Amino acid sequence: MRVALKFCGGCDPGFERGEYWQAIARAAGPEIEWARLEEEGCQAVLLICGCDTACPQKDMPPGLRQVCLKDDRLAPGQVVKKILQKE
Amino acid sequence: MKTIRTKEDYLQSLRELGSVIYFNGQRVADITTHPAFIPHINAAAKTYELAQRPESEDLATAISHLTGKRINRFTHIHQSVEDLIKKVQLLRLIAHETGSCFQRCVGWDAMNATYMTTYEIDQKHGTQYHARFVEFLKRIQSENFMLVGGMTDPKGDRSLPPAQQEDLDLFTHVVEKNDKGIVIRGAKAHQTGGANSHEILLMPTQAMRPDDADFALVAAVPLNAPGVVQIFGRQTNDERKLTGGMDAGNPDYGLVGGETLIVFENVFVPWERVFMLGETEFAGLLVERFATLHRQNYGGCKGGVSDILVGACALASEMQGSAKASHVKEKLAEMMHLAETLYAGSVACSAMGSKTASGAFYPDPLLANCTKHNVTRHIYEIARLAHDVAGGILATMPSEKDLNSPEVGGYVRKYMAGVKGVSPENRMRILRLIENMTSGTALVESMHGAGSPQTQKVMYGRLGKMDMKKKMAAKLAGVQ
Ligand SMILES: Cc1cc2nc3c(=O)[nH]c(=O)nc-3n(C[C@H](O)[C@H](O)[C@H](O)COP(=O)(O)OP(=O)(O)OC[C@H]3O[C@@H](n4cnc5c(N)ncnc54)[C@H](O)[C@@H]3O)c2cc1C
Repeated sequence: MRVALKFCGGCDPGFERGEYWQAIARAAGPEIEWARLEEEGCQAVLLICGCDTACPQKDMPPGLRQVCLKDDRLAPGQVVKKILQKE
Repeated sequence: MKTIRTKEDYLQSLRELGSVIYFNGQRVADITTHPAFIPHINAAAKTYELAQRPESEDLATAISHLTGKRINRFTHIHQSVEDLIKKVQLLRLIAHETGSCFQRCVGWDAMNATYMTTYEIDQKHGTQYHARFVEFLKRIQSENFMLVGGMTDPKGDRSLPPAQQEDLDLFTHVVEKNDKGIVIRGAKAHQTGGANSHEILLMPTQAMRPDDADFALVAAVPLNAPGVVQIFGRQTNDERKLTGGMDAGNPDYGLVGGETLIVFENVFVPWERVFMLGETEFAGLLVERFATLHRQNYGGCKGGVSDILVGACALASEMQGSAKASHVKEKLAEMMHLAETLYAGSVACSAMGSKTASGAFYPDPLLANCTKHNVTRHIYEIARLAHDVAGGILATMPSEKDLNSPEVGGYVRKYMAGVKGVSPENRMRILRLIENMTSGTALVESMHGAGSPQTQKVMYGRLGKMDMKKKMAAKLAGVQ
């Protein structure tokens, strides 16, 4: 599945967003092809936000399914399942 | 000139620029390899690096309203309240990376203030300043240049206006006008990031009277222009940066911005780089706008720097075995309270921002002034609490060389021990960071940067709506 990755800006995040994404990408392996939000053909967007405000959430393109993470409590494998709608 | 994107591009651009810079009595041929300058360059380089990172590009970049292209946010003209808030968020983010000033906000604020004010000067006088400035800004956005915000003149006798100074050069002014441009003389003091910026945007330092017309100047000057000389200021413990290592406290980054005295010795400025000259009635407005935009920042950057300090104090107390003491927990909470109060002020003045005639957005001036005024107090109080929690060792700790000495290193390790299992070296590193962030120069910036406390206090008289306050009180009390 082609999935857009979008981080919030990270003004005062509660966890290491970059490291969390790397763990998610490792868990996903080849099942997810990561893209930038501007790129065509994405079926979902993974938003990784440092706090509950989740600033970029309101600017997401309508119609694109969102998985929005505001903390790193969910195990990376669970996040992948959520993105792939396998749960 | 190609666009500066990476840190390496930035370093290369500084080498090519070759500004004339003196430090400690000597001309510095290449600041990018000089240990007094490297920490400040590293801090400013973060403004470029974070724009390249997916985890921070949402704050560190913006879409130019002039070209529709993605640009570094430090060259952006705020187009909405959201832009104003993102500015504050960005400053907190970068402060988390550097633990010190990263310098680039001053020029950014100068650009925004000039953009708004030139529009209004043109409306009144039919001048072409705004169109000229827009062309200049497009180039700055495309090249991703770093600008100095050049407001503060040396000012000589503070009781006298510019035109009555014994030496007129104590305020930057025009000495010649011809069909190609103008020639300026004078200096700007305390110029943050001067050594490692590309250009300076000069602004008047205060409101001007009609006979100060030659001092009412807004213009952009490349910092390698003939006649521009910079003298880099000394900072607390700056010699520790020359040797690097643990004693520097925050070895990779600067202590405040790295400020220079920038001298203009008959510098030629072509007309296309002049954005105001002689319109004295707009000098006060421009100063006020720059000051508001700059005061808006301080809860962002100082809030972020304070986050580091809170973390350092928490670690020191854990290493020293005082972390569970209730008064230590209370002091750490108080430090956070003060830091978040500063941040709240910066966010609030941004949220209450409004659109100017030019289309650019402007923070609420009273709230921005209130925020900066809190910075002149809270940062000192945060530092006081840090000194309390860290202990007297902050003032008496042996050096890294003693730690590594074959003769006395054993003693230093033995007597710098804290909680079992904590390395004395790590304890010393954290204590040095606290010392670095709370001493001398670091504090003075919070007091005078963006204006001394009184310049904020006077705003209550102007913007505090005292008449309404009196009316409300009289109404409730039944005063006839
Ligand atoms: C670390 C740092 C970075 C800075 N960066 C920049 C920068 O990038 N660009 C820039 O343009 N400026 C910069 N500044 C300058 C800053 O804006 C000034 O320091 C500030 O405006 C105060 O001016 P001053 O230092 O000349 O102090 P002074 O004006 O000498 O003030 C000292 C005291 O005298 C009082 N005072 C002065 N004049 C009068 C008067 N006429 N009437 C009554 N009281 C008076 C003040 O209120 C204050 O209490 C920076 C300053 C610092 C410390």
